Amino acid sequence: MDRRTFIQLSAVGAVAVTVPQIHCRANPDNVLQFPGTLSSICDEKTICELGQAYIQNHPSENKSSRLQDLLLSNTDGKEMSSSTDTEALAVFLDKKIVADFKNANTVILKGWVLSLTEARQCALYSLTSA
Amino acid sequence: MHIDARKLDHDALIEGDICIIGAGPVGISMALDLIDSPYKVILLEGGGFEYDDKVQDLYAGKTTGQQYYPLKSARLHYFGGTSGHWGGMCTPLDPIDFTKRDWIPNSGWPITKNTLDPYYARAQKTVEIGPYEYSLEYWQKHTKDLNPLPFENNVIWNKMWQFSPPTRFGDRYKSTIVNAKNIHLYTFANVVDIRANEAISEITGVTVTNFSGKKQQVKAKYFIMACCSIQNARLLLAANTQSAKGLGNKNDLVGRYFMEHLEIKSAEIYLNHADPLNLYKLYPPKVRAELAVTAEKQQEYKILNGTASLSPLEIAKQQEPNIQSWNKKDPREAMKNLEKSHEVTKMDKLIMRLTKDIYKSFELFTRIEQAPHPDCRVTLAEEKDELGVPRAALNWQLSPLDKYSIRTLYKIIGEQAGLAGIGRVRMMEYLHDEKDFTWPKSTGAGWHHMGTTRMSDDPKTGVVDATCKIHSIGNLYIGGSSCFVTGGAANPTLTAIALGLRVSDTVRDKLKNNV
Repeated sequence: MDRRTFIQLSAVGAVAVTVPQIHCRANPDNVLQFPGTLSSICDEKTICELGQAYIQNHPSENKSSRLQDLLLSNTDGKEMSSSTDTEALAVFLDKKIVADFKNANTVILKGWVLSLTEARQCALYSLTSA
Repeated sequence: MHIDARKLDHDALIEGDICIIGAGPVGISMALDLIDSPYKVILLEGGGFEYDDKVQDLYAGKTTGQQYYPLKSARLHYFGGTSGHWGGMCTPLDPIDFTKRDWIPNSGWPITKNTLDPYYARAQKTVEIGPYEYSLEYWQKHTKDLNPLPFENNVIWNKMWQFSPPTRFGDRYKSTIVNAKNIHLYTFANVVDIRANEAISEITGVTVTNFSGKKQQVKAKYFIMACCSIQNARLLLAANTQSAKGLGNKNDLVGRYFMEHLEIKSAEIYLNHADPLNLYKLYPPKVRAELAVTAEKQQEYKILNGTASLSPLEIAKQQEPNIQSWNKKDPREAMKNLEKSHEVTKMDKLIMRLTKDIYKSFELFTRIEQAPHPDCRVTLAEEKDELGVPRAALNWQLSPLDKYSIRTLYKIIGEQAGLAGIGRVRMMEYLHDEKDFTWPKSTGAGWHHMGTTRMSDDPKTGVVDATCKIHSIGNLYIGGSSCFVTGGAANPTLTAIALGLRVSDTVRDKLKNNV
């Protein structure tokens, strides 16, 4: 392998490792603040930045309690309790996220096309981890 | 038959039934189509059989507006024309491209895709590709592992492409043309003037010349211009001795509505699970798909027609934007860079081996039509070329609809990726702010020149009619992409050839019926 190829390859390796693969250190037990799919794609810092960007665009949601209320209710008026078991809550949130994408209930934060629910999860994470 | 015009006498008269101006893919396709017809065809080429920098310089011109490539490099001026740097990607326009779309000003062709279908099928043979089949289902039956991303098919569809070798028309068809008895190919025959009768209703002849200084006159019953968008407009505008605005330009439309395909890196898709995505692969054996938005959703979101192609992110990051790599004043340098961009490099091979050609992240690259705009136009510059013809001046303009459409395309793909649960999409920085309609330095185009003699049934809105005949002139046709009304998401070569074949049929019928 010549020197030029080696240097290029090192750069490629760095891209391949750092961009898609760093896992979030958010607490997976707290599903409300754990955007599952997103945290398998981007790192904790990015999730915090996305959360901050969301709050900047939606200052009325700048409180954990408000975000929790919004995350625990859906458009059908159904509400979950924060004490609901983790698995049921995760299923509830997953359904909300799919419904968001289905209904174009999305936001674009720093270029990421996110469901409103997962954007709020990022926001909650950024508030609670600050 | 081949004649080098430099060896002809000054003021020699060349006569035939049909005169085709320009021996690029469209001109050669028409000439091939007319072989063995009873008609004498004069095929005029400004250059020779090889690249000649002095001849190429006749295409140099001025550009203003959005950053564009040097005009000298964007088209090739020798037998075979711009097929000399063609990438070979073929697909037809979509039915929606021909319709009047109320959200796109100046859209709507006077013909439908059905009109062009038989000509597309013929064009496929000229560019040496497979059957006129572009449905995913057809190709899935003939090729293994062409699995589409699991998107809703009423939102996203897979636009299929076939790949020409690519056919270099000069090399591939030189002997056929030269050996054809009724095709009289004149090289080094640059058209510098077009003359009409007193009423400017019929073309009576064209003047050709070269650097020898000798001029010849060409007479024919029908003339077909096939010099591509910029040179067609330039020649019509420069033929201004009888009409100050130029030929066919009573309504000040010649040169207007120039269009390109915007080609730009736009987003990234990160998958939950690595996938080879064979259907979308950059280096396929025969076919490839790009992600496109359905006609219904284009209407709902009021966007232009465009596609997103996928390249493994690790590989795509090695590639410069087109506007940088093709932006050379010397066409040979630009050509080398273009060829490089289509090659599987040593580096690409290394990445493929390391990743086993399976990836979790892909770059999304846009090719999209631009909204037709009258101020995006070709005019005559003050400076003249060495043969005394004013050089072309291109003002390339983009519009907010262009950028809105790109952003919306990735919003839709992003939502589909989320809905399917396969991953997430991140748009590039220049698309982050929905109120920002500026363009980044990486904004490029595909070297796809379209428009300038657009088609319309109404002379007030188009230079040529639905048969590609100039409205006010009985025997002057335009062959190729300058007749396009909109650009769609398809590279223009296949459609340009199809339109040219339709023109050659029309002219053949007229001669047959002695019209």
